[in-house]
Order: sequence, then structure tokens, then C-alpha cells
Amino acid sequence: MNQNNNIIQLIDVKKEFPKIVAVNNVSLCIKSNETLGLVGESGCGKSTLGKCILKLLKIDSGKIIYRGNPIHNLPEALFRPYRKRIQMLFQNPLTSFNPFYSIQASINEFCNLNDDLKEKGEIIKKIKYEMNRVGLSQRILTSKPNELSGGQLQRAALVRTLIVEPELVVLDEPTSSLDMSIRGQIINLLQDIQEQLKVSYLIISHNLRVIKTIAHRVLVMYLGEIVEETTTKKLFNKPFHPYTRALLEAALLNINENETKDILKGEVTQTSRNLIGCKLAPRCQYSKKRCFQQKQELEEIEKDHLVRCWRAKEI
Amino acid sequence: MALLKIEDLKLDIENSNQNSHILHGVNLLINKRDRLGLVGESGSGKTMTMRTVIQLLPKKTKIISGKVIYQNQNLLQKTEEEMEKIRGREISVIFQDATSALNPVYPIGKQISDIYLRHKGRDKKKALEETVNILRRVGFPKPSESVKAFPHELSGGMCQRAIIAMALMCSPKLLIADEPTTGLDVTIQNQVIDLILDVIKGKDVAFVFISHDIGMVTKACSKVAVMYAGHIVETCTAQRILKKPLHPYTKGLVRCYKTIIGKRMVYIRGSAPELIKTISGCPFEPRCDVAMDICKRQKPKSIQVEKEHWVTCHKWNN
Repeated sequence: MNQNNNIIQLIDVKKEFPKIVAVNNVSLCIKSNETLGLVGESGCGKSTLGKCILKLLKIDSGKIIYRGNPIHNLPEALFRPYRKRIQMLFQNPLTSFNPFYSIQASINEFCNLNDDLKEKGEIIKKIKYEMNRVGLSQRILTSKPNELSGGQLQRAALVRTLIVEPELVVLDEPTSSLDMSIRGQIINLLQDIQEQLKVSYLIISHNLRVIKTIAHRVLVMYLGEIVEETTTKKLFNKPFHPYTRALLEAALLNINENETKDILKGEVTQTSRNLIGCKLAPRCQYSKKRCFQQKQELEEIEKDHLVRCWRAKEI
Repeated sequence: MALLKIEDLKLDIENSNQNSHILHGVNLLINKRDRLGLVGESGSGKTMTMRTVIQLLPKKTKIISGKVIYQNQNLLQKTEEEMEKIRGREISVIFQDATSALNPVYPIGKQISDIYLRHKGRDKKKALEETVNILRRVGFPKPSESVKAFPHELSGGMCQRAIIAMALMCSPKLLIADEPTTGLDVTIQNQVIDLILDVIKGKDVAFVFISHDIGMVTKACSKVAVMYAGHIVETCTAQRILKKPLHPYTKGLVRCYKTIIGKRMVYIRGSAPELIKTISGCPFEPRCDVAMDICKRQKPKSIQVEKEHWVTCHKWNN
């Protein structure tokens, strides 16, 4: 893999909270103009990982390398220039805007933090340009967040994200607060923007339809660990890990109808985090003694297809 | 036989300057042992319709007109005292967010047995026994120990199971599940739906499933009603709605749900109308691709296209 092509690379990143290892030795890389999907249920550490990349959380061990420069232990003052290159789009746009500010004021506030965008005329010109790109009328600039619909507000949040011309945008469940009929509008818009601006995305979502449409490669996480990593096409055509299969089935995306249902029993329990072997073993119907006792590493089963499961090839 | 009949229900929320119009004449019929899915986007009024039934409306709501007839009685004319006897016993609800629907300072066993004590008598020993029984039925592995558990000690899925136990304690005639799986993980969602369907199986209970997920609803229900901006736009059987939707909005929704191939996602253009506006024509007209002149001017009426298939659209009005 060409190292220089990577926008960001994470090597063995670990983040612990009291009693809980939220992200356990995760390595990943995102190339320029690529969309990486991060899938998993709540509590699997996907949002924590996103926040670690933005340095909203400090990592405990491992490395984060941005275009060849390690950024994980930079003090805040030196990290500042990177902030505009790495942006985040949050899940619920209603809570990511100040309810007392107009949309214009919220975006202005954000621009004022940025050295390149201090001149007032320049800012307004830029806002209008980006508003046009995401398909919002300029009328809404004077509106307060509660006067807008979810779709409009998510577009406005996107304006705020794009205005500093980022290279990498972390999308944390960008559509989960939106209605089904609106979801497609935002996802298609994100794809258009990627084409125009050549940005990279890390999209965090539990919605596999969204991931299937937008992502080029997908990582599946379970309790802080990556359990499967491959291209989107391979993941949806031939998933190996039982957890991935269960997710596809739950989303009614499973192609093979005859396959045995109910791959997983019960639900995520925090005690599973302390297991030595596979963390899914207590819920997995295929689990054997070895799954509980021995730790499996991510193994390359096929070209570009990494899976963490002892029985991946048999089942 | 009709169990619940909602007739021309109109509802507003009074704001300081302008009223928001939430429901614009909703008509709905629920028969005994029906399994009805109520589908719609956020703000379409599906929750408000069902909240009117149990008379748990937020402050400042005003019922403009309409009747809610439950077993030949109009629930809108009942006093609060009379409603208390109906809630939980005749009609019970499974709410969306399980962790906030439970009281955090009491163990779940107490909360469930309270329902028994309220509606079925004062025998505390019997109440505890019944609680243990029902917890076992909803899948608690050690029910006699779980009665002492506090909500924060349980996972989201388990809390939702406790809520289901609570709703079923007095064997209600009508069970309303308001987005029962929204706060849960995808791999748990199917478990919870299967559980609800399993515990009501063979019982004399009608089930109303409120959801925005048309796929989930068609799996769990036999009939589906689609809501848009406070109107019921289409009612038909669950199999038919995916195969042959008639209303342009339902068509759009089904397309959003079905199409997963390709690099672009399907969507319906525009967004839902603002609630403060008065709608003179069809509420979906601004987003509709096949809208005609009449759609702007006149409200469409509900038309029966086939047996058990009703649609509210001018296109079908010969």
C-alpha cells in the first residue's frame, strides 16, 4: 500500500475509560478521496474512535498519523492547524446548533475561530457559495434552528463543516435523525461533495443501507475490536464473520434467504469485554471451546478481506 | 368486530401566536385481534393519534373535533378518573424509550406489581407471584431475582422486556407499541418484535404498532395505515402495501425501502409541510410528481379501491 496516499493512519489505537476498554488496538487507514464505513452497534466504540481521530478524546496508546505527521501527542496549540483539515458532522443537527443563534451567527462564530476566514465580506461570500452547493436558500440564514426541518438543518451543518475546506470529514451517524424519505437526499449530496472537493469521509453508522451506498471500504466493530475489514462489495456479497452476517440479516439485506436465522442470541453484555477469546462467543451459535479460550487475530482470508474468527472458513 | 373507532379526529397545539395543526381529520378502525401498523415520518401525527386514544396528551393540545369510540363509549368524554381505569387495564402502551419509561428509583418488580395492585386487587403476595410469572414469559432468565433489579442495572433490551411485561400484566384488549425498537440495537430489534408477537399470540388482543420503518411494520402486522402530515393517506393489507402501493407518498416510501442497489439512494424530494400552515389541498402535493391542478385546491377523499384497500388521492377518484 502506498503510504503517501493515506490521509490518516491509525496504528494500534487504544482508548480506555474506567473499567472499560472502549477501543482496543484498532488500526486503520483512510486514503484520499475515499469513504471508509465504520459499522457496529451502540457501545462498540465506533463514536469513541471518531472522537479520538478529532482529538476530542486523548488516546491511551497507539499512533495517529496525519499525512506522515504523528498528531496524537501534539499539544492543543500545535494541533489547531489540523482542526480545520479534520472536521466532523454530528448525528443530531438540532443539538449541534446553538438554539439562541441564527444559522448565520452559528456559522460566523465558527469562522471567527479560523485565521484564514477573518474578513467579514469574505465569510459571507463563502457561506453563500457553500449554501448554494448544498441546495439551501439564503433565506434560512436568519432562521433559528427550531424553525428548520431536520434535513435543512443537516444541510446547514454541512455548510459549517465545508466552509473551512477540510480534507477529512468524520460523519457520525449523519442520517439517523432524519426521515427515511429525506435520508437519500443527504447521502447523495455527500457523494456529490466528495466528487467536487475530493474529501475523504469516515462514516460511522449502524444503517447498512447507507453504508452500502456511500462507503468504499467497511470496518465492522464489536466491543472495541475490528472483527471484519474489506471492500463494501465483498462485505455485502460474502460476509464471513457471524456478527456481520447477523447485522446484514437484521437489516433485511441478506441475499441468501435459506441461511439459518438467529445467528446471535441475547445482547451485548459488558462482561464479554473481559473475555480472553472471541468477544462474540457467548452470543454466537457457532462458537466452540476454542472461541472462548484462544484469542484470534485479524486474519487475511482472501485478498483485502480481514476477519477475526476461528471458524470463518467452516461456517 | 370494531374495538376502536377513530372518527374525523382533528387536533391542534396552541402556541402563543399561531396554532400548529397536528391532525386533520383522522379516521381509523381497529377490529378485535387486529394487528395494525401505523407508518409515517416524524411529525406525521402517528404518536399523537394514539396518545389521544389513551388521553395522555401534552398540555396546550386542543381537540377540535372527532370521536374516539372504544367498545361503544366515546373516550374523549371520559373523566380522568374513568380513564385511569382504562389505561393499563383495557388499553396499554409500550413506549419508545424503555429506560425513561421506567422509574429509576424503584425496582422493576415493584413497578410491574403496582399495575396488578391498581387494577386487580390488593393481594401483595399474589401480585409478586404474577410479576415473576410475567417476567419469565418475557424472557428474564432468573425472574425471582430480577424483580429486585433497578432499571439502570438492566440493558436497554431487558428494560424494554420489563415494559412489555408491564403492558401485558392485566391482559389488555388493545396493546399500542409506540416505536418499541427505536432505541435498541439492530440485532435486538427483531428479538423484541418477535417477543411481542409471541406473547400476544392466540390472545384476545388487538395490536397497534407505530413505526417509521415500513419494513418492520409489514413483517409484524397484517394491516397497515400510512400517515402523512396528519392525514391517513392509505390503508391496506401488509403484503399489498409492498407489492402494490397506490398513494404517491407510499410509493416513494416503499421505493426508499426496497431499492438498495446502485450508488445513489432513492428519496422523495422536498420535505414535510410546516405544521402551522393551513393545508387547503392534498398535503403531499408540493412533493408529488403526479400532482394535478385539483390537488392544490381540494382535499382528496378516502376512496376504496379494492377490498381492504383505501387511498386518499385524487388520482384514484375516477
